[in-house]
Amino acid sequence: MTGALTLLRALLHRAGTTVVILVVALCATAAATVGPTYYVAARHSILQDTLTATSVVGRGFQAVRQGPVQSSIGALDSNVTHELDQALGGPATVRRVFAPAVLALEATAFFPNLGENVPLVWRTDVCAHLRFRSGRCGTATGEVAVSASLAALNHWQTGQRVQAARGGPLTISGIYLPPDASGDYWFSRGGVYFPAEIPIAQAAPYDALFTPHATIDVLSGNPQGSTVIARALDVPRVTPADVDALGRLDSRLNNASLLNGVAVATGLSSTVDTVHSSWSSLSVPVIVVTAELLVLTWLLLFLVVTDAVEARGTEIALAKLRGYGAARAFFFGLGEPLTLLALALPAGAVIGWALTGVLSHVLLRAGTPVPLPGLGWAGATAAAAGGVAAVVVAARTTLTRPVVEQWRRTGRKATDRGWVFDAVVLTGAAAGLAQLLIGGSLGSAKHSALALLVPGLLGLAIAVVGSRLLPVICRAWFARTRRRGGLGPFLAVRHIARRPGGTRTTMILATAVALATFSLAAWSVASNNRARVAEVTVGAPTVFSVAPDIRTDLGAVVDHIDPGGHAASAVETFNSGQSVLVAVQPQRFAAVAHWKAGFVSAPAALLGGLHPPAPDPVVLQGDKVRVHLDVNTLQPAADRLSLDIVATGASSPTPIDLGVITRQHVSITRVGSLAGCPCTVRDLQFSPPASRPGQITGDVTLTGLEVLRAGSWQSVPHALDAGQWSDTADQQVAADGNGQQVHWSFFAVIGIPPTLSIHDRPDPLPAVAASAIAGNDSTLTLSGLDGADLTVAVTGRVANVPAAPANGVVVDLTYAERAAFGNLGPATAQVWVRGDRERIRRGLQAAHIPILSTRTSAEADAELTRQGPGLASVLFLADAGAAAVLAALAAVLSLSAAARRRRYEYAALAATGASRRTLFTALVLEQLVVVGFGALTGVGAGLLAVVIAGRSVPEFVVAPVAALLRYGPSPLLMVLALGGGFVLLLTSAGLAAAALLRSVTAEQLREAPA
Amino acid sequence: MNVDVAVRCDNLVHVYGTPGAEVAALRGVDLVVKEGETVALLGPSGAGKTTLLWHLAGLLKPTAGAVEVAGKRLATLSAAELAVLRVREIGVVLQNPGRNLLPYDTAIGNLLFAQRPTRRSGAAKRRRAHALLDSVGLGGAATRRAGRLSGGEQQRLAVAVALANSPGLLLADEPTSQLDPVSAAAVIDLIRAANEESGTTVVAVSHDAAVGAALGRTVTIRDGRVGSEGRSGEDYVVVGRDGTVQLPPEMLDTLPPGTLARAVRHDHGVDLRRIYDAGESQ
Ligand SMILES: Nc1ncnc2c1ncn2[C@@H]1O[C@H](COP(=O)(O)OP(=O)(O)OP(=O)(O)O)[C@@H](O)[C@H]1O
Ligand SMILES: [Mg+2]
Repeated sequence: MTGALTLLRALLHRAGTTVVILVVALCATAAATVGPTYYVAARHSILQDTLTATSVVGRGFQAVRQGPVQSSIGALDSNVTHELDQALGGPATVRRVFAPAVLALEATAFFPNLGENVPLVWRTDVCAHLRFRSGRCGTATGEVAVSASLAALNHWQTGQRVQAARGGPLTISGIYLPPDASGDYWFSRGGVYFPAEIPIAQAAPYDALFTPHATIDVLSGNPQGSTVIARALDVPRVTPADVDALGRLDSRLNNASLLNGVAVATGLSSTVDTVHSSWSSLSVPVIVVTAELLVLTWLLLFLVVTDAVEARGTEIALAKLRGYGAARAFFFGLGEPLTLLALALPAGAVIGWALTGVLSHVLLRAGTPVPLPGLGWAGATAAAAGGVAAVVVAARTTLTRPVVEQWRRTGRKATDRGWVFDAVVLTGAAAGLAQLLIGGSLGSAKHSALALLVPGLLGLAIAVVGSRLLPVICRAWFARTRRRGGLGPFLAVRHIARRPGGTRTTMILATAVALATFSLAAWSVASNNRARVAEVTVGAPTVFSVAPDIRTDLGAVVDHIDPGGHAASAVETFNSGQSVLVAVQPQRFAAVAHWKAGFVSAPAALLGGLHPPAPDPVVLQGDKVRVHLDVNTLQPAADRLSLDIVATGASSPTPIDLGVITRQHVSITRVGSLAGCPCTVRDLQFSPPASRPGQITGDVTLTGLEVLRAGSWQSVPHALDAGQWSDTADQQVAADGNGQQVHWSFFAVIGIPPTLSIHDRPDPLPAVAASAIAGNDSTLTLSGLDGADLTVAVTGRVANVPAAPANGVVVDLTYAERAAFGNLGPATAQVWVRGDRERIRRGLQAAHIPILSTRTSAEADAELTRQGPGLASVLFLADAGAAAVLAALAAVLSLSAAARRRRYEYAALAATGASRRTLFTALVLEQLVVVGFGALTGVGAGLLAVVIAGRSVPEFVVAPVAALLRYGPSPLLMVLALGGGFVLLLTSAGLAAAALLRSVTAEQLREAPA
Repeated sequence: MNVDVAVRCDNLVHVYGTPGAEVAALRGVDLVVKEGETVALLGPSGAGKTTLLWHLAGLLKPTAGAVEVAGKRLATLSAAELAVLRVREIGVVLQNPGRNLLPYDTAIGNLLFAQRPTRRSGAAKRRRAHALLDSVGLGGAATRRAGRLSGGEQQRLAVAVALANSPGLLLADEPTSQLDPVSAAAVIDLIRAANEESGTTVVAVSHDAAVGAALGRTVTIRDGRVGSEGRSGEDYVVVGRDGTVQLPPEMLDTLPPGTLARAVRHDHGVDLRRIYDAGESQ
C-alpha cells in the first residue's frame, strides 16, 4: 500500500520518462494486438468478399437426380440434409450457414398438336420469383403459369385450357414475364427454364410451365425428369470457422453412398481454395510486420528503460543501503517500468483493438465484425513479456552495481560493453539477410512475404554501423570545431562524440525510418500496380454489361446517347480462351478506355487505322429476291447456284436456292424467297452436286440484283458497285465503272465451290493487338464475334489491351459485326463509360437496353486492396509509420532528457557570458545531427532494401500479367512523405531545444550534477 | 568474540582505484567501539572518515584487514545476510543530505520506505514513523515532499530515517554539516536520545566541535590512520601497530615534521625529545 503510493509518486515525479515508457509500451502491446486482430477481421472480410464475388455455384451446391419425379423429393432432401449435418457438425450449423433449400421437380409436358416439348416445373416458392403480365401463379392442381414468349408463340390466353400428352388438361392461370435468372434463387437453372431468352439456345426454345407440386404428382406413369435440391450459403452468416468443412463438402456429397446416382454440382471447394490462398497471403506478412515492429519497440523499450533505471541509480543504492534484498531491490528499481507494462497490456490491447477498428472500417468490407480475439490478447501478452525481458536486461547493470559505485565511480573501470550488443544485433541481421538471399526468398520471380524482413534486417545492420560511425565523425569534427567555429557547434559535437547512448537512439531511429521508407515505397508500388491491374482488367472507369435486342445497333445507340464521343463506347467482346476480340468504336474507345495503365500515350493515333473506308453491306429487305446473270462459260454445266444471305442475328447463313444452271452462253434470271429479313448478302455460290465433285471453272457476269417490295421489283442500291464483290480464291472479279454489272471468272480448286463474296469490310481486319499475342506476326487468325475464325492484320501493338491485357485484339466494331455477319450471339455486349455513368445509364434505359451488370475499375481496385497482400501493405505502412514516429519521438525526448541533465552546464555557460543564441545553436545542432543522421541513414537503408527486395513483396493473390507491373515507387509521394517527415522531425527537435533553453536559468547552478 | 563490542576494525586497509592509479584511503585502522558507546570520527578532509564509515556499513570490501559489526565479520557475509544485517543493525546517514531521501516521496513515505524490509505490521510502521517525525520536530511536515524540505529539515529527516528500524548501530556522516547551531543541536540531541533511550551505538563523522563535545569519545583519523582519541575532553595519541604515533597538530610547532627526536622510556611511557643538529642554531 505504502509501496504503491511511493511508486505513484515516483511515476509522477518522472512524468516525462513515465510518459515515454508508457507510450513505447503501449505501442508495443498495441502493435502486437493490431496484427492478429486485424488478421482475424481481415479473414472474415476476405471470406465474405470471396463468397460474394463468386457465382451462386461457387457458394452453394445443387444436387440433381435423374429418374421418375413423383415422390422422389422427400428421400433426396433427407439424404442431402443428413450428409450436410454430418459434414458441418450438426443441423444448427447447417441452418445457420445455408439459406433454406430450394427444391424442384422438372418434368416435361408434350403438346402433340403443337409438337412442343415444354418443361413442366414445380419449384419451391416460385410464385414469389415471377412477375405476371396477366393472371396469377398456379395454385391448384393442373394450373400452370406460361411465359410471355410461349404464350405469344402459341397464341395462348390466361384461363385457356391446353391439352398435354400425359395427364389431364392444364389451365393457364397466368402469363409471366421471364425473370432475370441470374439470381441465386434460380441457381443457374435459367438455361433450363427460360431457353427462349438465351440468344443461342440449343434446346427447344420453350420457356417452362410453372405449376404446383400436385400437378406433377398426378401425371400418369411417373414420368422421367430431374429432382433438384439447390442450397446457397447465407453469406453474411458464414464465418471463417466454417470454411474448412465447406471445402470438404464437395467430395463428401459426391462420394456419399446415400447420394449414389445424384449429381452434385458445386464450386465450393475452389472457392474455399481461393479463400485460403488469400488468407495465407495475409498471414505471413502480418506475422513478419508485427514481429518487426515488436522487436523495434522492444529495443526502444530497452533504451528508454536503460536511461530510466540509470536515472534511478541513487535511489536503488539507497534501497540497498536500507537493507533491501535482491528481490525487493529489483521490484523497487523496476517498479515503474513493470507497472507501466502491466498497465500497457490491457490498455495497449484495447488501443490496438480500437485502431484495428478504424483500419478495418477504412479497409475491410463494410460491416466486418472486429472482435478482440484471443490471438490479439496473446499478441499483447507476448509483447508485454518481451517488454519485461527488455526491461530486465536494460536494468541489469544498474541493479547489480555495488552501492558505493553508484555514489563514487570506484574500482572497476567503466567498460563500454555496448559493442557486445551491437555485435549480436549485427550478426543476427547479417545472418538473416544471408538466409534470405541464399535461401532464394528474394528475386523477382519468387514473391515471398519474407521479403518484408529485408528492410528490418538491412536497416538494423546499416543502423548499427552508422550509429558507430556518428561519434567517430563527430570526434573528427570536434577537432575542427575546437580550432575554429563557434561555441555552439563545439558543444553540440562534443556531446555527441561522448555519448554512446545518443547513438543507440540513432540506431533505432534509423531502423524505424528504414522500415517506414520501405513500407511507403512498397505501398506506393503495390497500390499503383493494383490500380493499374484494376484499370486494365476492367478496361474503363465503368463497364456496363448490356443485353441489347438482336436487332438493336448498340453503336448507333451509344452515338445517340453520347454525341460528344468522349464518354461512352459500345464494345463487343468474344473470348475464345486463347484470344479476346475486343470490337470497339475506335475514337470513342480511345477516349474512354484506361490506356495509361497499358503504357499507351496516344491511343487515338494508335486506333486511328482500325476503320479504313469499305463498301457498305448489301442488305435485302422484301418478299423475294431476283438475280440476273449472264453465264458466259460454266464448266461443267449443271451446277447449282445459290445466294447465301444472313438474317439479322441468325447464327448461320441461309442459302437461297436459285436452281441448277444447265447451259452456257445464256442470260438467266432467277428468283428466291426471303424470310426473316432484313438480310445481309453474304455470297453467291456455285456448288457441284455431291455425287459429282470436281473442278469448276467459269465466267459469268452479274447484271442485276433486285428485291420484290410492295409488289414491285427494285434494284438493290450499290449492289453492283466496284469493289463490292470479291473472290478471295481467284481474284478474277471486275466491275464496270457505273455499277451496272460485275464480271466474275473463276477456276476453283476441287472441293471448294467457287464463291463470289460480298466485300463490305477490310479483309484482313486491321487490328491493334497485345504484344504478347501478336508477337512478330503481321496477321493473326483468331475468333471473331461469332466464334468463327477471323483473320486480322496487326497494325499496332500495345503492351496491355484494356480488359484483356495479354491476349486482347482490338478491332473496329462495325467491321467485326460485318465479319460475323451480324451474328453477335456468342459475343458479350458492353458499354464502356468514362465520366458521368448515370447519364449513360439513363440513356441506355431510355433506349430499352437492359443493363445486366455494372463493373467499375475503382471497385476492382478496392477489391484487390481488400485481398491479403493489399491489406498487409497497409498494415505494414501503418505499423512502420507508427514505429518511425515513435522512434523519432523517443530520439528527441532522449536527447532532451540528456541535455536536461546538463542544464547546469548551460546555465553556467550563460552565467559566464555565452549568448542564448549560441546555446540554442548548440542544443538544436546536437538534436539535428543525431536525429538527422539517423533519419538519413534510415532513408538510405530503406531505399537500398527497396532495390534489393522491392520486387519480391507480394502484391496479388493471383499474379497478374507481368507486363503490367512496375516497381518504381511514386517519386512525388516519396519526396513529399519523407520531406514532410523530415520537416516534422526538425521542427520537433527545434521545439524541444527551445523548450529546454527556456528552462535553463540561474537556478540550475544550485543543482549538483547527478 | 566479545558481544559487548559493537564495532571492531582490525588493521583495516582500503585502497581505491585500479592498479597504477591507487589511492590508499585507509592504511591500517584499528578501532573498537563498545555497545552503547557514542563515537565522533574527526579528521581533516580526505582523511578517510567516509571510507571508514562505509566499511562499517558493509558497503566496501577491505583491501586488507577485517571489520566486525555486531559480532559478524562483514567480509564473510553474503549479500542477503548483509541486507538482513543492515535492516536489523545498521542505520546510515550519508554525507550528501539529498541522497538519504527519496525526494519525490513524503516525509512519512521516506520513513515507511526504510521500514519496508522489516516484519512490522503496517500500523506499527506508521506509528513508529509518526513517533520519529515528532521526535525530530517534523510532526507537521509528515505529508510534505522530502525534496521540498529545507536543508536542515532534510538532515533531521535523514537521521529519523536512519533510526527508523531501531538499529543497534547508527552511522552518521556529517549529520550537522548544513545546519545552523540551533538545528545542529537538535540533531545532536536526537542522536544522543537514541543512544540513551535505546542504547544505540553511534559512530558519527563530523567537523563540528559541538558533535565531538556531545559524544562520549572522539577518534581522529589522519592520513588513513587513527591519529588520536579523546575521552572526557582529554586528548590521547594512539600508538599504531607499527609503533607509529601521530602527534596532535598543535604539537608540530615543537616537533615540526622532519625533526629528529629521541624517544626516552620511563615508567609510564615514552618522552620525545627534540635533537638539535650540529648545523642548526638554537
Ligand atoms: N572512488 C575513489 N577513487 C579514488 N580515490 C578515492 C575514491 N573515493 C575516495 N577517494 C580518496 O580517498 C580519500 C578518503 O576519502 P573520504 O571520502 O573517505 O574522505 P573524508 O575523510 O570523508 O573527507 P571529507 O571530510 O572531505 O568528506 C580521499 O583522498 C579521496 O580522494
Ligand atoms: Mg567524507
